[in-house]
Amino acid sequence: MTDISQEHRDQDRAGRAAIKLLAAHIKGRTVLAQLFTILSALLAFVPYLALVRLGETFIAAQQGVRPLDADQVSDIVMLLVTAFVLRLTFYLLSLTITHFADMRLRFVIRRKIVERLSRVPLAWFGRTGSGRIRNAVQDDTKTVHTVIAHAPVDMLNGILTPLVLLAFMFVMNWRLALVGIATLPFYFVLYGSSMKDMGPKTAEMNNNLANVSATMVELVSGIKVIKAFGKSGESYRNYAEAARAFADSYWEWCAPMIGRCAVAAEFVSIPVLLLVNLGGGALLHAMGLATLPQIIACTLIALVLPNAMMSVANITWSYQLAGSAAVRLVELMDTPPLEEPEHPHEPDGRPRVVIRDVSYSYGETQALRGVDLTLEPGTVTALIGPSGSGKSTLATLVARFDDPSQGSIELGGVDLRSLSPDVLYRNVSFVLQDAMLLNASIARNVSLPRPEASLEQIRDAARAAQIDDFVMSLPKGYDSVIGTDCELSGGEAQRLSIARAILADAPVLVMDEATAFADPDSEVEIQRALGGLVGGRTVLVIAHRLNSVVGAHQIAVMEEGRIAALGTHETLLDNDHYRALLAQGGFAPTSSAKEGQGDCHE
Amino acid sequence: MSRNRSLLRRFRRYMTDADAAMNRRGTVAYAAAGVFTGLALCTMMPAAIALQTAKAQWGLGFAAWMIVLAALAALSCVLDYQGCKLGYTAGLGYMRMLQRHIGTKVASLPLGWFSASSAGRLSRIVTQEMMSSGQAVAYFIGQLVRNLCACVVFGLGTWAWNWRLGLMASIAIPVLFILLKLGQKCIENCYADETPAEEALASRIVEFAQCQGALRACHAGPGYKELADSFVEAQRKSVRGLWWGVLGNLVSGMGQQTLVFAMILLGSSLCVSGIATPLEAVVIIGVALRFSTMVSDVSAALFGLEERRQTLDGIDEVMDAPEMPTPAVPGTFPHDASVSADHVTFSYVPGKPVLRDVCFSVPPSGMLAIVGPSGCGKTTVIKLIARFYDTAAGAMRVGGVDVRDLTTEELFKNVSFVFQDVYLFNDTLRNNVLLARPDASDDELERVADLAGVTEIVKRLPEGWDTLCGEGGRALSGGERQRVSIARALLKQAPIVLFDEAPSALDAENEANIIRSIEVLRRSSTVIAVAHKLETIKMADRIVVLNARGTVEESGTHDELLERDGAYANFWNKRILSARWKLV
Repeated sequence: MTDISQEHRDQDRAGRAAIKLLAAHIKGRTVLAQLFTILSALLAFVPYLALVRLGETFIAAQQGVRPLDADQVSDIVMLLVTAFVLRLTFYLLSLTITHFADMRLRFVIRRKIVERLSRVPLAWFGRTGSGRIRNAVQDDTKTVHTVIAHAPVDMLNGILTPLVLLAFMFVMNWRLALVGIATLPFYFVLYGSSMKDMGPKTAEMNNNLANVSATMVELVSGIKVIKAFGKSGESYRNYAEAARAFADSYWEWCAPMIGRCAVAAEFVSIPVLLLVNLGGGALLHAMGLATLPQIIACTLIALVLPNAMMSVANITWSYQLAGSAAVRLVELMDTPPLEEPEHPHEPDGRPRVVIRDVSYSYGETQALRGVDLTLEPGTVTALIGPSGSGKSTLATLVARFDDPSQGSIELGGVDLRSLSPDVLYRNVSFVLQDAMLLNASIARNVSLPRPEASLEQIRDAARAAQIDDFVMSLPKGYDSVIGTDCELSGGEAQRLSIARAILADAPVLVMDEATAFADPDSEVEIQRALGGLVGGRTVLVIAHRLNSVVGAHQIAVMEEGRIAALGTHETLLDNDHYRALLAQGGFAPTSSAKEGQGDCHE
Repeated sequence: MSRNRSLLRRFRRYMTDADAAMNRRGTVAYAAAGVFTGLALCTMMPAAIALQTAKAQWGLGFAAWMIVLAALAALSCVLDYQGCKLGYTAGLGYMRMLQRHIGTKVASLPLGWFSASSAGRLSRIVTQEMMSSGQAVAYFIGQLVRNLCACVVFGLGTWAWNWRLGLMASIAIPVLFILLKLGQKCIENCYADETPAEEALASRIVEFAQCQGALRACHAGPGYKELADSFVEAQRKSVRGLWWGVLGNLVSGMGQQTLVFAMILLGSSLCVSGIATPLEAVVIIGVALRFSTMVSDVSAALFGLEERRQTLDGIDEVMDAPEMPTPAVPGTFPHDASVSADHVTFSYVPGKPVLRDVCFSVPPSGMLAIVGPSGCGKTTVIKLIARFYDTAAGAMRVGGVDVRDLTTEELFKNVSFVFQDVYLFNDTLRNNVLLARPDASDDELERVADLAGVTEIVKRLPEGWDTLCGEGGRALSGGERQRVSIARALLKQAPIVLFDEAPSALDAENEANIIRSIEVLRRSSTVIAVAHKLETIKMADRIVVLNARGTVEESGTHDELLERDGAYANFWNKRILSARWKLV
């Protein structure tokens, strides 16, 4: 139990640290807003002062001490009005500044995230769902920005205003002031005792809620399986259990507080405060120690004090809720980026790729173990092997999706780590299973690697990628915005990404053969497009169907992160691994004899 | 309309009777406490005057007024305490019951109700929305009722003091309310302007992440045009929204101040002109200070209700979603393992049928392949058999019985399926397979694992069968997840198996496993497959070809259809060409 609460305490502390880090971005604005808040809070007592002066003037006149001076009355009223207007102005200024700070923070967070996203290893995206990024830029940013921008100002206001009013009360009549705050100690003792351990308790509640959320997600996402296998009972129980755990712990936390808080609230309720202040005031009045206007002013102040203090408690609470969101944001912004060379080298111009003793691991998975492979200019190298053997990892390392944990990859005699990203990607392009199209016009999508390309050049690439006819058949042609003007099928998207690669015209190409089979409705077209892309380049292809790559210059058979065999189709026929893969693939070399009958399995 | 029903009554729907009764009593207690609080505020004037003049006001001296005040305070405290205690208890009960109601509802909604966004939406309901609506039930609404009552009673009480003050308060309240509403509108305007731009920006950033590979390869960094534009647009809208917000604050702030000024001017001019006694004037001014805060607090809370109402609308929408009609005559069982479609028509959106008048019948242990262009409703056919949805016309029959006449348990006792989007629980790999038949022996488990290719996954993973599959099965690749799903179907040995084949061939190894498994499955079960691969299609003893309009274009055996040289023959030849493709 102590461990858990320690964990929650740590979580609470981490949240505070993260909030502090984020808040640093708007420090200046926050200080300025706080300055106006101080001015506004300092004026809080003026209306009450005016009230007392006015009352005393009136009463003095009534009692015939002094004749009523209309000018004096209007002066006091003016003072009252001016104080009000100034206070409102300062308050609005401070509020406006915080709003701007709040907006700035929102954009700073997003820009920082974007900046970091543009530098983290591409492999990171494969491991991190886009849901996490959406949550960060939408929900988490929303959760923290108001709290971080507004809390310091609201907090200051919440503390300073009651203090100013209190000070005013004491200066005006310390006896009345004591009456005014007489009930507060009871309130604080009762309320404060329930506030104990608030941070860790909140963290515990957050964890319980996260559990409820996770089990609900599982119940809903797996609903088909659950029903099909008659497991609704079990999954429902997991959820129900999490919900019960939350409700129980929340109840345990809240139930003892309900009575205490309810009693505490009565000590600062309007009727009680009226009774105490009017009654106490009357006694002092009887002893000649307080005037009536003073009593009324103090009573009114006593009525507003608790509210101001309560708002401080609310701010503390929302601050804690924002903690975990802030931690997630800071984590995202601190994702380690790929190092960029300070003094980039230029490759020697020959598109020759040398992979030297490359190992790679992420988390606890060792994906590659000491791979050596050379891709000669203008040749096609195919990577084959069972899923999980490291084909994709190796291929994407050539496009520097991440850096090898050990060993090196060289392009044109230069380590990839010493190339500037610009030079690297002018030399290496890739066509993988995800077509990666933007919500922008088709022309823009295709010309992404060469923004200056003319429409004719774009169309040439599209023609080579077998997609020009389709694009021209759209009402807006190349200006059609993907996702807005047209929805693309998998095959159409794939062909646009091939057109993009054709236009990029990089000498080294990393590709996934599965793209050829992305869409059964248009496989033939995609295949033709890929044929147009491969010619003359240094190609590294992740192959799934041996049949498609039997003509490759070299075939690397991968097994558990190593190259188990390397050669051409002919030289590899003796290799057991290779033959096993051939048999499994259902495309035995003898199949060509049967092709005439349209028979595709052994 | 349910919208017009009181908010509290709508909340009570999710409470137990005891909690609802508590909530009702709590609200009444709060209302009464508010009335007494308002009366207590009203005593300020006569009490103060009695104190100053030492004369009875309305027949009571200062001491008597203090006794009245004490009595009011005591009553208000007791009632407020009751309201708080009952409200909180009922609120906590509501939170517990809401979670339970939603859970039960989820378990009884038709499968077709669920979409990609359902998981997020429902998990929000049982967490954030549960909390915020719980707060509303526990104290927010109760305290609003209390403050509103106090405000109204206080406002009416001013008439008793001085009709001029009463008149002013009675005019000021609606005016102030309107000004505050206006301010609120400005702030809403600010959000209406800002929100779409904010969402567009978020989508662009997600796109920036998703397409990072392409963008980086194309030297398009954080400054790439579309994203930069979105930032500029969102910032522009934010600034505009901000000024709306400032205007809103200005309007409501000024409204409040104007009320205060007016009452202060009234008080002092009444005094200067001798109509009111000086003390009355001071009290009037004091009241103005207090009253304006009360009115704006109550208004802010009232405006806040709109947000709660929207939350509740969302919850009600889920809870009111129609459940699958249960069979009128329970105890109906399928006669055999045959499946047939009897003039089935179905549409997701009314007026746009996906399937029209589809007929087929598969005898027990037969295998039917459904082929056709993407989007022609192939998957819908098998979803209708599994009763994700009910047909608009015609019927799906399992063992000669309309699926609507079978209970969910009975239907799924006979039908199992392998879909493309395979969901694995964050449990061990073993439990994920065993879920199909928890009492299966180790031998049986090994056998289906071998067949479906799960054994290879087990060997690859460091912890083998005991590896946790991660949320949704993330630890495994798509192809691997499908193998697990096939192993489940093999283990379950249902008489009817529905199989939605993935259109793309990810790896040859997977394909081999799938084909081997289907061969085994069809020995004992009726198989209906949405098929893309030539091998799968060829295994079927009957093929139905759907066209883009959702009607049956052709049906027959593979040889018959090739003979006809129609849509199927065309499709087949194209696939052959594609399967023979060589990159180099």
